[in-house]
Amino acid sequence: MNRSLMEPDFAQPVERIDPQDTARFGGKATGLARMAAAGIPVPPAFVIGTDGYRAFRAAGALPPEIIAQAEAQMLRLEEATGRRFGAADAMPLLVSVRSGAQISMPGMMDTVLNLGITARGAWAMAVATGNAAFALDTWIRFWRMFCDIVLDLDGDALARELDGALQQARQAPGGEAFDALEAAVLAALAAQGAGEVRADPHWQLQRAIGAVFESWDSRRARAYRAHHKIADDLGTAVTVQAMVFGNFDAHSGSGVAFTRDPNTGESKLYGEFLACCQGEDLVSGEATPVSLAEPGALSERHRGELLGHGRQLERMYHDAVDIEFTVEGAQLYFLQVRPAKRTAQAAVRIAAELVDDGIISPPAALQKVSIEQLKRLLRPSFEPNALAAATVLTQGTGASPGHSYGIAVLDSDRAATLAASGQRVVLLRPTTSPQDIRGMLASQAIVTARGGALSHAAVVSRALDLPCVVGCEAMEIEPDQRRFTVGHQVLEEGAPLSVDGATGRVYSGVLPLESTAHAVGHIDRILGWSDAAAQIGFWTAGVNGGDARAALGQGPQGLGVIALTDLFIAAGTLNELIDAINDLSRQPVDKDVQDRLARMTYDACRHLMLESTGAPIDIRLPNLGSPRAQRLISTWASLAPRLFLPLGLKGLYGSLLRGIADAARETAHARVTPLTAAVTCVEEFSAFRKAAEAVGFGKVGVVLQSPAGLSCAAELARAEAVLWIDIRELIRTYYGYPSALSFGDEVFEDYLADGYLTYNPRSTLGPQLGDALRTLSANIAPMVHARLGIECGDGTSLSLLEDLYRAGLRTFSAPAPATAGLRLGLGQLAARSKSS
Amino acid sequence: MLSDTDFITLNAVYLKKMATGATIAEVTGLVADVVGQHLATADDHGWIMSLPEGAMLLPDGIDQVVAYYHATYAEVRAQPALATWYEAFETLNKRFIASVSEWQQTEGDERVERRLLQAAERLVKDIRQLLAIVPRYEAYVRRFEQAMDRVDQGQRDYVCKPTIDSVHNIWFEFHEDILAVLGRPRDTT
Repeated sequence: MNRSLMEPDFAQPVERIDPQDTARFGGKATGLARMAAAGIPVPPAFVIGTDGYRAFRAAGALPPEIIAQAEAQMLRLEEATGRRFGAADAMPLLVSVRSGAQISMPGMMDTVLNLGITARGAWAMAVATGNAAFALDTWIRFWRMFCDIVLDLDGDALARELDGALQQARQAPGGEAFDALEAAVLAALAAQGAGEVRADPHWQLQRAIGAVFESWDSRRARAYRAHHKIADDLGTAVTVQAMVFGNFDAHSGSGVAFTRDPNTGESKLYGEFLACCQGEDLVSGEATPVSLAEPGALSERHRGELLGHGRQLERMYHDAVDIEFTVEGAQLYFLQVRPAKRTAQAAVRIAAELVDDGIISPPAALQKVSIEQLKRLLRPSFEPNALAAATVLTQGTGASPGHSYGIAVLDSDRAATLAASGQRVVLLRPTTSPQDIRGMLASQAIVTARGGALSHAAVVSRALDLPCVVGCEAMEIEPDQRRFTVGHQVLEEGAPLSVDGATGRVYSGVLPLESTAHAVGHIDRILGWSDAAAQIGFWTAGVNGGDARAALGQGPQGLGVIALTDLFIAAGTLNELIDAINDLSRQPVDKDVQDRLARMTYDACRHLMLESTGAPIDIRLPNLGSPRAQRLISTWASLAPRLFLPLGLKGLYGSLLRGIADAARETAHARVTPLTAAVTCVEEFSAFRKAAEAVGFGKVGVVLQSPAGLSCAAELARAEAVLWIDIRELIRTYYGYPSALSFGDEVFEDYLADGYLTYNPRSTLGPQLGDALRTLSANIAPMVHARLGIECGDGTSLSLLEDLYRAGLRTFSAPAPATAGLRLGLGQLAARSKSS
Repeated sequence: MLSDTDFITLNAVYLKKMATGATIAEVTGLVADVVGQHLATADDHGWIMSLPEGAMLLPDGIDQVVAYYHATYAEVRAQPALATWYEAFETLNKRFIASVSEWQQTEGDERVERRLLQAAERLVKDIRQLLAIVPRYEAYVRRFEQAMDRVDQGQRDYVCKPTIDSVHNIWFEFHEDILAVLGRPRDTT
């Protein structure tokens, strides 16, 4: 037939459309089309394409052809379901109306359900199902949604208005009571200023279709398109689908099924089924559903269909899915399929096992786990032995999971002040408000006496990922008196507390934390795939003898950059070091002082070297010119000024090198590389190397912290220096900002908001530094023995890491808790850029 | 009593506990220089304490803000329409807070996010009805729309991150504000 002689096909059955043509039919209809094509049972539906939208926009109203075609399609739905739209004497055909653009977009009309009920139809439904309450709920639910979504009025207000008429219809159901209710609906809508509203399903369907088209031009949708440069004339499709009822008879029911257990990730059919009910009843939690694991929860046929189609759907979606389904009579329908929600633990297992099942590739698996999920799995928790012996002080509602400890502080300002001085603080408040934010940000955990899981404290703690316990009703908090009471126990501000934000328990005293990992095997595999995708190597920083083995278990290329100062702190000998430095400052060539320094360095390093089982260790010598040295050494200002220059005095660096070398020799550790920090020219490095070689080191390196250091980096590499760039210090010195302490993110955000900067230097590398690093990494790439790494520290933003990666850098060092996020983030970036 | 602009400046500090000039300018829509002048005046009167991280209200400043609320909205408070408005807001508030909580616990489920923003859109619409009696509420409309646009553009921190002008943060400040207008105490949630 010659199409040009006919009007266009605005409305078509979903099974007849091209499932690839999302531009015309949108994601929802094409999704249904694909399911139908795969033989998966979906309720009958039709779609009006975006050409319908354009005709609507051109005409300023729904054109008669669209109305006629939609009515024709409704006849098909009637035929397929054996029900009549708008029927008054039997169970009527009800439909859902949904928007469906190619790109899902905020501000677009949400679903209208249960469209097609008149007062008489509702009564017929009550009779057919023998359940008047169900018929009333279905009907009023429709009006609420129609009011909210199509008429853009207040659906809650409508529900309140109808309360009386609804009660009457419930108590004495019958044709007349239903008629009265319908009149009440129309009157309440008129009172809200709705204009013309009819109780005619055909009119309602047209209004709902028109409302979908109009929503394309809602404020939010327009703002979204403007931002994303999406053409305004693309338009949206409308999908109209027959409703099915799980409460139709005793054989019917509704359920939700997961192809894999959303808590553990185990590959098995998981979910629940509630006989003789609609999907909403399942959600409301008023009735108790049966687990799909129970024998007989579903018929064998339906169970087999769910399993078989579930496997098909996993291959279609390349993911574990959840399926909302309904059994009406003997027929199983798939209502909605989505990638399944899952816990962090399930996410890693599902990602790994989807690869094993041949459903996705390893790079695709990286996108199935978020950095936040990984961090949550690796989050430290109380040591089990300490926990077993701990005393529960009080119990509230766990509002934001996690374990932490600190001293109790009862006022947000004091909490902020104490935290700034280095204290770990637990904020204890009767309740919190926006005025407590500063204190909350500074705290390790938050405890409130009042409020529930929806309180301000709970919501904010979850946003900040801080452990939080709310509603400790047994606790009396007196912020002004600086004391709190539990039963007869009176405690003062400053008392140490430990908080478990999951169980809601608050313990007296400090419970030490240890890092844990659930699902470790799966995490290791995913991180391995991530490293392979990104082609990066990582080093673990901040390690001492006590945690070296655990750190090496993560598979780093080496331990580094390790600050020698941190080894002294771990050994408890920092004060002796500072004393010796003071002595050396006064008598730079005193042999006794130098021997003392070498000896204590040997002692501080030995344990780490023994525990590191031969893995490479890069140790950074202290830089007395640093802000950290200034903080740690109280006599800093009276030290010999020359000590503040990068290499300082030979008596110092020479002695420290000797101590490290002695420890390496005695522990037979052949892969220790000493580093000197803040180097600005090759001459400094040469002197350092000479001293290092004199005590037996083969490989020597530098930590670059300044533009001067960066500009001689290639030359240093040619001189065979191992290169590390302390990226945070480099950024600070590049911009000339004062010491790291004043770097608060919000300070920069404010500054940016004023328009004083075009980007945040903490999260964006910027063009000049980016170019310099790109050139450096390109120059070094051909040098076979050169090594160039970025020392990131904790809390370096992912976007900055991504910029560094794009500049060609491939070796990164971070403290153990930060390495997993760094590795996954860069793996995801690499996998994304390869696939696009 | 405070001038309107003095009040608008100090009220931003009152609701946030501590705020920089830039933040005050952003939330009030006042020009930064004007905010600076009013903060300087407030400093002279001993109403605020200026710290490097921002301004904080001193007890005298709090008294000034509370007195302004009390005096300016005495008539407004007596209107039954406002009490009805607030009742409807409480229903919406419950729905919104439940959505925020669910959004957090479902790690940003899209359907929940849609519900949450629908509630915010509803509030914006309802706040517009109050503009005739509280014209400065226009600033909340602007902030909500900006935060929602950012969420729509994928900046999900603007749902409820407490340190930025997120939908939840604005909602909470608005709630404190309307309670102060009505002269009602805040409940524990």
